[in-house]
Amino acid sequence: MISLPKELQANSTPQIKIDPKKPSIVTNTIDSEPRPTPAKSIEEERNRTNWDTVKMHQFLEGSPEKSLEILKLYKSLERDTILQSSFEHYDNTKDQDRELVAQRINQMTKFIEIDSPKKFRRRLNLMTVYDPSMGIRIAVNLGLFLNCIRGNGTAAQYEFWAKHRESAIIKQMYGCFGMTELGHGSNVAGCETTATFDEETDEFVIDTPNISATKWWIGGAAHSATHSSVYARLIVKGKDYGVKCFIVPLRDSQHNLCPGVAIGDIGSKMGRQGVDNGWIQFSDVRIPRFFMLQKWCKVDRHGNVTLPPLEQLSYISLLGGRVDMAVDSYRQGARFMTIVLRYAAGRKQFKQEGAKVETTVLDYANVQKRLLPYLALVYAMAVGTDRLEKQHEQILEQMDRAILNNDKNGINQSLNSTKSLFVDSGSLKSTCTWLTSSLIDESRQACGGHGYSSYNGFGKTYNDWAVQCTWEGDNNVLGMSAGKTIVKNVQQILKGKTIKSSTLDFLNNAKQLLDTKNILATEADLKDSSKFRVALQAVIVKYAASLSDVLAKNKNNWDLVGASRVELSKLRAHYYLLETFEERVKSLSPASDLYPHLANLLQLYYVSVILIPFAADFIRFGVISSDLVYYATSEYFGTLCGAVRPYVVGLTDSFQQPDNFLNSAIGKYDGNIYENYFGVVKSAHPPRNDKAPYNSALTGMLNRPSQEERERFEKSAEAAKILSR
Amino acid sequence: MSSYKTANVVSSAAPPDPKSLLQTERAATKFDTDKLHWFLEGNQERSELFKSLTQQMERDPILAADLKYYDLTKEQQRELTAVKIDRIGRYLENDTIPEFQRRLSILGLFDPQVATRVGVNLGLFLSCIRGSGTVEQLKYWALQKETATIKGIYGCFGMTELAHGSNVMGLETTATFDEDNDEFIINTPHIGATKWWIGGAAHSATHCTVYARLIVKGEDYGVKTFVVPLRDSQHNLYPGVTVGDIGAKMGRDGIDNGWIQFSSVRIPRFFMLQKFCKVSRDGEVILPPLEQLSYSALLGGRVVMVADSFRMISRMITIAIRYAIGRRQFKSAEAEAEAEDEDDVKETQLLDYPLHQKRLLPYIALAYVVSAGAYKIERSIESTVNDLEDAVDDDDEAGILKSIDAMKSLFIDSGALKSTCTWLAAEVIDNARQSCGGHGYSSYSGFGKAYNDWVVQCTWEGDNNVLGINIGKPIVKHTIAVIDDGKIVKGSSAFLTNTKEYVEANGKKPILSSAADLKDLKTALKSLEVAIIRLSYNTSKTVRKHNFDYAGAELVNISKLKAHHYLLDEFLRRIDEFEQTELKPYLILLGQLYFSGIVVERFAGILLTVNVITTELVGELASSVIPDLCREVRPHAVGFTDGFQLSDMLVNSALGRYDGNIYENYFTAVKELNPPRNHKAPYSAALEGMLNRPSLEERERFEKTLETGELLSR
Repeated sequence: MISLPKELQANSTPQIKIDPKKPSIVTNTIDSEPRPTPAKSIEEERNRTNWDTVKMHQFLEGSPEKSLEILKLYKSLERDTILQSSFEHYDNTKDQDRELVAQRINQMTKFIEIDSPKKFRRRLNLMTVYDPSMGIRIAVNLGLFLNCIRGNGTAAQYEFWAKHRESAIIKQMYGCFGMTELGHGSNVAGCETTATFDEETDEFVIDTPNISATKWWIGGAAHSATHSSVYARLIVKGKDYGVKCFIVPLRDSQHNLCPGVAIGDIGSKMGRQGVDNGWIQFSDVRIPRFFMLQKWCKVDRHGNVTLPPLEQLSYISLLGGRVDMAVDSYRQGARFMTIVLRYAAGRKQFKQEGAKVETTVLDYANVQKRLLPYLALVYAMAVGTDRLEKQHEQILEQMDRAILNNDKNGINQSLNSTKSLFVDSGSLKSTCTWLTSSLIDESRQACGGHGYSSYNGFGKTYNDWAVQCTWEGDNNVLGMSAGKTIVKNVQQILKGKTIKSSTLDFLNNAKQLLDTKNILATEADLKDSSKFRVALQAVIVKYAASLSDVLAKNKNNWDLVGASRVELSKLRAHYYLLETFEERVKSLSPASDLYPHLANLLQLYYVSVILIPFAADFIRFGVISSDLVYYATSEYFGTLCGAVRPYVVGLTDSFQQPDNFLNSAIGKYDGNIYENYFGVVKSAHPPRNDKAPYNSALTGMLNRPSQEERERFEKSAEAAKILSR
Repeated sequence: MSSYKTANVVSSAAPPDPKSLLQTERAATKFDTDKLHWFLEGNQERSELFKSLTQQMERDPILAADLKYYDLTKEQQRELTAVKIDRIGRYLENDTIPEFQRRLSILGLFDPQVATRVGVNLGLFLSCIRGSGTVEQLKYWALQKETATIKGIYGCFGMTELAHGSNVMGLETTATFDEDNDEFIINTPHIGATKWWIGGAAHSATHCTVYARLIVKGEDYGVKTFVVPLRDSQHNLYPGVTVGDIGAKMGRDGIDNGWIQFSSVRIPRFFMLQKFCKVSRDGEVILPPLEQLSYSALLGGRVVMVADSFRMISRMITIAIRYAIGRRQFKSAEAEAEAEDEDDVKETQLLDYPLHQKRLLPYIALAYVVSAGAYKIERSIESTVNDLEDAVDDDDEAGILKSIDAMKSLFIDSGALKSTCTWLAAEVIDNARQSCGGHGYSSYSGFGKAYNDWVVQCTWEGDNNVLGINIGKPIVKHTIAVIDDGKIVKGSSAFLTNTKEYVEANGKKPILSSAADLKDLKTALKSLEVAIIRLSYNTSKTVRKHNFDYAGAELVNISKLKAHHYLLDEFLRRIDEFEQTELKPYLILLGQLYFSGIVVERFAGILLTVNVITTELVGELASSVIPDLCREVRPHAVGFTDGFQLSDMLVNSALGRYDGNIYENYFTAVKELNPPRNHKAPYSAALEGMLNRPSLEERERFEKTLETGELLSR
């Protein structure tokens, strides 16, 4: 240490001065002021929970057995070193995502060999929530490819491809689903790929006639699939029999492309970058005749075509995907409600006059009104989609049994149930995926800036989710189709017909409902869920009848009422959810710890998710007065939010989703929002690297010579003098 | 048999021809799209400037965007963004300020992350110095240190903290005055006070305007601003400054957002910005009354976002409309009814479906209406800020008071517009994407990146909900004052003065009772005023019974309606003064579709509860008014979108190019960017290993066979 007189020392006073009144606080690091304590706030809220969250989970999942199975699967997933989630994955490039997904598929195949089919399906559905790319890559093979064979192929054909060739355990071969084309999406009947029968060689020739018939968006085609179920027009002896399905090998056992098959990667997408979607062009590719799926339509050796009447049943294979997407909506919704409500319970913002600490974000009425309706919706979707899942399983069993026993009556009954499943799954798939998309976005916005960070999960999930609104039945197309069925049913009922073995049988009261007026007349009526359910029936029936009038005046031009059909489908979906939610809540004893909370959520659901958004319909069809809507909006909505507010942490804990599943830095169970988030950011981007890899570009810019110098001083006054001489 | 045809490739059946569908409709356009652009940009001169700046940038080898952009990783985007900033700095040295602002506005359309990274330096950092610093301070940092040309130093804006966003007054970073050394000590007391989300901090910025609590002699004077150097001229961090990268985001990965912690960092006293608040050598603090005016620095950003919304809506709707014209799907009921032989009917163009029209055409109208509002608010901020600065410089008290009033109106209008328009733009991007079905999900369509880059606009620089509440509140306060004290309201909310004419006994009279009312835009404007009056009046009752917080949701709705009132009012005024009279009927048509298809459609429930519209008319709205207006707009869809004058580089979408050759363009892009020659994945071994794995029994070494069972149970 050099000794110098004080005035000659460069820094004459000490840099750090200690203020004895403000000692630094040592915890894991040193603070000079007390830090925020979100974990403590959340803990306190958690302590209010006055019910058993596992019991609530059993209510949500429909049974104790299903709840237990799910909890066990959560445990298995979070411990599996390949399947478990990680914050690092949010930094993945497309190529890294694809490789990760391939590794996970490989790992999943080890489970498929030992899980029961039902358990594996559940495992896959759960994995899909935090790795949708992986979910869909497997589902394309097991769900779409194999269901297509199951729906369109004979039992022997299914046996061959699924069991003998082991695609049911993703071994030897990998299937993809060649339906959509570059120029054709929703309109399957308009596909242009051709399958022309060549009687001489007993083969079909698969061909892509032009660019718009290029198979497009085919998941797994770019790099994984060895086979594709191809939707193509059957052409025999010059006659076009419409679109049928064919199994076409794409790659040989060395994973090289078969001749005549051109395949490419579709490249970058808004989300689901882990999926290798591809395009396929066939140039006169020959397949044996028996590669055609022929449960319904058959072509014999001499080119005779048999077309049976039940062909429409083959579309049942697409319904499974829609059911799954409705269930996905519940789980994804539950995930983001957990994240955002924990954040909103831990985060404080703005001081009220005279207050010492800032107000908890979730204590703002507007924040409650933005988020709590979604919480109620998630509860409704939980029980509603559980019912839908069961409905689907039952129909499949019923149908298989009827076909096996050649029971015509049974087949007919299954057909009826399939029709209503078509409406239910279509309207629920579209309505729930749309609502979940809004739920994710609203939750992100409620987390302010932090919602925009990848490590909190919103961005990737939104991007991965968004495609749910357009694929496997575009939401608008599905909504229009469901809406049409409802209008037609109402028309028939008004003509005196009664519908049976259908979830739409509530429409049978159409005549009486049409005559009702102001079913909801008093504030007390709003609190009566049964009354509200009848009011919703009335809106649906009156809406359908009004569309019927418009149609009558416009030569039955259904396109003209397209938008209203979509609205009607949404109302129908809510009816389904409301009916189920109400029934399940009423099945509980009012003395149960769960009951009061569920009763509040039920009311909050129909007031804020059905009545207020559809207020214009309720009012114009005379089901409620505008004054009562005003009361519902400005008073009752707030009251219900206030009743639910104190218990949000318990209500989201009841979803029982572990941190591994949430994969969100600000949404972890311990509620230690800031430490968790900062920790993740620092470990993903060690601050030791304080310069960018491209630092020279920045410093080069800042330290660039002056413009005059870079112009070689050519424009200076001196130069001007010389040049103007 | 189909005949094989050779064009550019061989086809065995006729390929679709989306191109001529678009061209035919374009050829049928009945108005001059160039002149329409004058309306959108404000006047002919501005329209020409827009085109010349666009031309310069689309030819610039570094600035121009292309489809490759959608395949870049975060690291690549960051580097490219830096290189582009360097390039834009060279233009900046020669542009006038208005020129450069327009350049940045256009850049913000096709490469928002570059615009933001530049905007943080020139907009936020320098505006903060302009708003809070003295003229000499501004001269020093902006000109002498050359920040204004992105040279020498690079600024960032250190406002938000990990635990504090919207509530600026609650920030916890401290700036403690050390009288001995005539310095401030900047300190981050704990993790919650870590500066967070600071654009440019991670790698670019050399200086930061830090919002910190001024502490002098133990007294806390609230949040003030300080210029704090972060990196030295070697671009190395100063001691006591810790900076890190915030990492991956939903969008705008090209921006190096960072976090900053200060551990007792010392800066000279004169690094404090002191136009309003001053600290003297011996620690005397002078706090003048006009401090609130320093927040005017933030209003500029909001105003820019209104124009951004117009541009983004116009870009997205151009893509969706061009696609919907070229794409055919199903056969419409109408087409089938008219055809003699069903098989002869071609599939119907998407845009000929009433539902598709209803989903998209109102957004064209929205773009036109927002353009007018964006231009107006841009001019009013310029004049307001200039007037204010002149008044402050001249110490003109009356002038200052007048400017403060103007500033309050500007606060309401810019906040209502920023929140309402950025929300609408997000909705447009998403719905435009969905309207393109699966192809909208491809990155090369442009929707995905646009959405992800866009949505932060809803939460930053004034969170939309917080703004909405802050805008709704003064309106309801006006209402209460009108009712209680007969106040006369001035400025853009003057119509509230007539509250009593429309509430209580007069509260049931509808303004909109026929389709003609909906189409008469003067009546439409009136109906918005009455809706705001009645909603605000109802809300005032809720507020009296509970409090403002309880009515938060209503306040946000009031703010939205106020924004629509502003937009429609200005749109009508602009039509009135527009010299190209032959275009007026088209603009009025768009105004009608905007009002019915955007405003009434989404506020029908509210309009019914406040009795502004009749129940019958709401039914008619859906069944005939909106469909009829859409049908009227439909033939002009190409012309209206061509009117935006967006070149292919600006649109940057494989689906939305000017020539309408959708499938060829898209397929070519996909093949170029993902050469099909690479038909195996880099990780193909993993896939092949999985498919060709030995059986489970073999992998279990046949340990569980019946034979081993016998052996092991002996």
